[in-house]
Amino acid sequence: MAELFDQHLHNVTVHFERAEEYPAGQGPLKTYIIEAHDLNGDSPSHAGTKAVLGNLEQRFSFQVEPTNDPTLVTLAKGDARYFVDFLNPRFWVVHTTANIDPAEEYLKDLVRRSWNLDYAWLPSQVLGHLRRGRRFLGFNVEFDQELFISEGASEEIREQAAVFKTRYRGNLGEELIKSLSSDAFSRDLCLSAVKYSISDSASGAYIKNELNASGRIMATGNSISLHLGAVNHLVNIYAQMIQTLENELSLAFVHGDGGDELQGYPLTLRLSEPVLDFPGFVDEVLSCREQTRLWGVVSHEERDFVRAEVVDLHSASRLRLDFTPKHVVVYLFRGSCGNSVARLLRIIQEHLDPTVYFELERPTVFDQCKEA
Amino acid sequence: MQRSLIPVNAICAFCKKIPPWPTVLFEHGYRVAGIDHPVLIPPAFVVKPDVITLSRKSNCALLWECKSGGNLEVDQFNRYRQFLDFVTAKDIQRVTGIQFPDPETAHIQVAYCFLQEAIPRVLELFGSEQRIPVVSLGQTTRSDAGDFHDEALNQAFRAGFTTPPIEQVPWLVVADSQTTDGELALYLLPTVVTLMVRQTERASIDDLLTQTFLDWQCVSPETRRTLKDKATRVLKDVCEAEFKDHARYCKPGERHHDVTIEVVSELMGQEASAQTRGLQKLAEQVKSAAKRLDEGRPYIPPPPPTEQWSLRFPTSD
Repeated sequence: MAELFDQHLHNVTVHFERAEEYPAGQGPLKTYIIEAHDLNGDSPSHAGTKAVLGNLEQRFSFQVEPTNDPTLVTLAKGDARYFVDFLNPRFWVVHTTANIDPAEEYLKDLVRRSWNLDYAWLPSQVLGHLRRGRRFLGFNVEFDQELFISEGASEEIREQAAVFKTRYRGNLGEELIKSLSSDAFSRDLCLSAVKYSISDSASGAYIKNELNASGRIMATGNSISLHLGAVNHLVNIYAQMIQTLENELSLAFVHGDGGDELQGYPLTLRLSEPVLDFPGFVDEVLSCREQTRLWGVVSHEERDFVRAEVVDLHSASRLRLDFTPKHVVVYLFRGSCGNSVARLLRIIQEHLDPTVYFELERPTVFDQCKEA
Repeated sequence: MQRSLIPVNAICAFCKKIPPWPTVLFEHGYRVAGIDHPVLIPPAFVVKPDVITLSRKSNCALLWECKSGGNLEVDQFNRYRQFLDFVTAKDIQRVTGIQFPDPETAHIQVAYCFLQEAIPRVLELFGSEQRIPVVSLGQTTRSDAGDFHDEALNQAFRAGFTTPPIEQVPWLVVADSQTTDGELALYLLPTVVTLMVRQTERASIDDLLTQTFLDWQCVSPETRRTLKDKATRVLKDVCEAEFKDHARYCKPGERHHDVTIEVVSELMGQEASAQTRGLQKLAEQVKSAAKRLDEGRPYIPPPPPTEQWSLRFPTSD
């Protein structure tokens, strides 16, 4: 696989912005992170992953072919061919050089219709962190508060909803981000992608990556090793994030030798400004629609407070959410999936408040990503 | 929302760091160490503190009796007075399994936690000369009578502290033996929905309860039995009514020795927009099932269809 992609990188020169124009096999190399569970909902093993892949073959008419590497298979459908690396069976790494439109369409269908698969959901702060120490080549911002405005909201509320979408390419990314972060725009500055390059001056090897918020890395350059190194770094950080959320937050009263113990804690996501349209926000979060994909039933409701019993449709996990106009409290049940919390945070960042972040009791990977 | 569970959850929350909720017990070293443990007072009285909090630093356990104030039982308070004369820390360790750092020198103390609205009546019934501290839970939470032996904690409760709206208390213990069928449905049915999403074939009632209630492992066998009976009743009813297209209630049989819920839903196989609409409808159905059960309207199966007489025109003469 590495040789194939190395050859690909040497043979094609691409612009990420025009990725959809390249024919199959001529576009940028694209690598996706997919979070997976076994068919019974547990964290998967290598054997369990093979069962999941078999299930995908059956349900989506993908052709699954083994390779010499026992933790690497190819999936093919139409013109699109993917290499699926499940060395870490919880976080698959999926590579393809297919044209971006069909490649993403098939993958999107796969994830949307599989309760045990989901994308990675990178907070804006983590995207910012992952370009540090690398040559910064640009960034995308996507912030749109309109998603959480209900149809019946007043014109006054509609007018207040901020939308900020921009794309910057060039050498002044650092200065521009610093400038935007220090003024009123910081409230709307939600990074949705970062572009950077990594190079080794001794060998002349280099790679340019564009990493987006759902864990997709597009690559062009001349070194597959540098690309795989960047992917590996991302997977490790993301796995650490999700495991931290599950280890820290997962709630249960546990009966042990020393008595009962309340393990885990509900996580409070504090908003910097009250929500513009509180009912609209709650309705959309519990709408079952993309991207939130949360099913919920309200168990208690007051003017500025809603409590809901929730099911994440991407992992069949049980959650409880408390909403107020100033904060959201997330209860992650024992055995539930940390990716549900990461997705909710990302969606709140994109559509409500990019400054919201994980504030856990102890210093964790999230603090490192924020402060580095 | 079951108001009687607000004080139970407030005590649990005080033992944790859950902003913006106060951390008064956490700061003084107390952690939740027991939930719903019955304790026998010789010869034959039983008390069941809702929460036991233990500070390993001060080698002291607080046994909290939590009440909304809806039904005050004088008998129960008298039992707690006797409790202090008979029960020691070592007894508590033996009965509940809670381990004190040094059982010989350990202290135990009973404390009450009431919603603020009940306090005037509590003080009227029991007077302010209490051996047992009475904490009133409201906009400002404070102890209104009695003293905690732990001096630092006593000062904190005596001074009082601002508390967010009590209805917003972190909701960790969501059911007890008093929980209504409707309320139980609101917590239990979402767990049935997880089975539909996973397209799991079936699950036992015990599995569903374990996945629904965070404290299932810790509550007393009596509470567990009561909740299981209610859950069985609720699931049987809802599977015949609102969930009839999605789940089936299966009596114990040769293959399954316990009642199971079998998933028959085809919801997750539908195309995107039909699936979203179906799931939204399911949320409405959970709400209407809960409302119906709380109004005491169990599902009544329709009468079997009666044989129809075919219409005959009168014969003309």
